[in-house]
Order: sequence, then structure tokens, then C-alpha cells
Amino acid sequence: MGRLVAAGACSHILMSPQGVEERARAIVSGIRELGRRLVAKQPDLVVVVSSDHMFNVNMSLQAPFCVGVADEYVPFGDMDIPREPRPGHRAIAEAFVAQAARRGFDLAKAEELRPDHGVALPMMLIDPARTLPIVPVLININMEPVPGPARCHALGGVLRETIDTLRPAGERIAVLATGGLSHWLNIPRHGEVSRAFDQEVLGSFVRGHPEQLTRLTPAEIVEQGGNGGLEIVNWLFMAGAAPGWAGDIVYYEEMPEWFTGMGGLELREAA
Amino acid sequence: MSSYAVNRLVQELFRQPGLLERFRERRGEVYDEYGLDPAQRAGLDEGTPPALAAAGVHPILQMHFLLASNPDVARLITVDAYRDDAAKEA
Repeated sequence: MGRLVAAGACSHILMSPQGVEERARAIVSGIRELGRRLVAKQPDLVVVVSSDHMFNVNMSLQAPFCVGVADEYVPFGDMDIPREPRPGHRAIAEAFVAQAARRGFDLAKAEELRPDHGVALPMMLIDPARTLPIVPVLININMEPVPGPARCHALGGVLRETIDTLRPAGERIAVLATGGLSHWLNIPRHGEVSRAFDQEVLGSFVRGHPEQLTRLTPAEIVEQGGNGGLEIVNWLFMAGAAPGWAGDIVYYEEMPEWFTGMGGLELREAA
Repeated sequence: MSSYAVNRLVQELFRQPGLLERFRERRGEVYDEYGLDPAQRAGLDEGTPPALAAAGVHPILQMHFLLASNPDVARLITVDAYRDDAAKEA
């Protein structure tokens, strides 16, 4: 059996540091610190769970969940992210899709995924040498109906089952969720940040009890954390793969200048 | 009329080679090609988030449009300031 060795989550945007230099530095340092912690666990690959910003999964074909099964990924290049290739990991991606089908989740598979900033930006900071293989898992928060929090959490559990039962002994896997925290993007309340929502979310995860978040409806998340706040379903997927894990907040900054709350955390297996 | 026509145009701006350049140079021709109605054309011509929303453009695709059409937005939402650091760490 394989082993989940690391789990974490972080926001996935950066904007110009002009005028917010100190907080921007803290955010970049936070993402790098999270990366150092994940890499220190010597994973063979990282499953990166994000939303796609309609560069791959757009309105022409709307899949709730999509898994990259390719051998290599070249970023889409949005936000001027370098289009430099990073290895994929076909075997675990295929095993996950197959196990999900046995558990009632029919997942879309992608050979031609061009990861946008949701996947590529954190990985640019966490693994700048681009040696760690990734498996992108995209959760489509931009469609109606939005995949619900409980279902995303349960799908994370299927990933864990895949790791525990279908992967070779000695294989070490990390899972990284990206996105959030609160932001209202081009809807009423655009630009607001909710520190209360962000702290509630971060606290729920680091205490090892995000279950209360799985009981929220997507509409309730939008009300409390904005349409961008829906990206916490990516974090719930990660927590579903790491049940009972608790941890600590690595960084948090309110960034109204960037229209979002930004945070990151690491979860660890109970000793 | 469905809002898909205008969303279809915007979601292709960064995906279809040459479309963004054609949009910048001859947007009327692109509007015709994608079958936009007068209200959708007016929404893109005004180009502000409220106008884009009124034309039925998805909030995420509004960001695509702003990145494509507003240099101030493109200068704000970029990793340019962080790329050199990442390269040094590699």
C-alpha cells in the first residue's frame, strides 16, 4: 500500500506587491514554508486540488470533477506564469479515476490539461525545479450546480482509499488543496474580504474537524465567503483524504487590495 | 437570447490563436462571427464589470475580458514580480 505523507492547503493567487510589499512578502514566504514542509516528507508526487478558472473547463463542456492523467503538464500561462513543463503521474491518476467509478463518482479525465494559476502558481513557489510529479484534480465551482462540500470531502476519501489499497508499497503521496479564502469576484460585494469566514475555515481545518463545513450549502458559502470562497471545497477534498489530521496555520493575510483573504495551513497525521 | 454567445467569445480570447489580436483590431468582425446581439456588443464595448454582468458574462470570464482589455488589470494580476525569485530557488 502507498502512504499519504503530507497534506496542506493554500490560496493560489498573487498580484503586484506595489503598496502591499510587506504582506505580499509574508504570503510568498508562507507558501514557500508550506512547500518546505511538504517536500520534507519526501513525497513521490503531489495531488494538487484546485478550481480551474475557465481556461480548461469552461462553458463549452462543464464537468464537475476533472482529473489530469497526462505524463506532463505545461501551464496555460495566465498571469504570466512561465510555460515550463512539469511531470505528471499517470498511474495514480488512472487508479484514482477507476476507484472513484467504483464508489459512485464518474470523473472526467484530461490528457491535454494546461494548468492555470490554480495549480501552477503554488507549484512554481513550492517546487521551482519542477521535479515533483503532479496529479491535477479540478473541482468546477464555476458551474451550476456547484459540486457540494460534502461530495468533495467524500471524493477526497476515495483518493485516500486509492492510496491505501491500490498503490505500491513505499509510494509516498502528498495532497495540496489550493484556492480561497473569502472573495467576492465580480458579484455584489466585489472586493470584500471576510476575516471571520477565513478564520472559521482555517480553524476548522487545523483543529481536524472540518465536518461542519461539509454541512454548508454552496449558497451559504457564497453568502459568507463569496463566490471565490467556494474554493474551500478543494480544501475539503484534501481533508477528506486526511481524516483526523490536525495542524497549524502557516500564514494568513487579509488582502483587500487583491480582493481576497489569503491563507495556508499544514495538516499532520496524529502521532 | 442566450448569454452563451458572449461567453463563448470571451472564453476563446486567450485560447484561440490570433483571436485576441483580431478582437483588438476589428472587434465588429469578431462580434459578427460569434453572433452577438446589440446588448452584448454594448456590454463588451463598455467593458466595465457592471456592463459585462448586464451582458450575461460569467464573473470569471469578466476577469478574462478585463485582463485582455485593461492594461491596468493586466499589470496588477501577474506573477512578474515573483518569477525571478522562483527561478533563483530552482
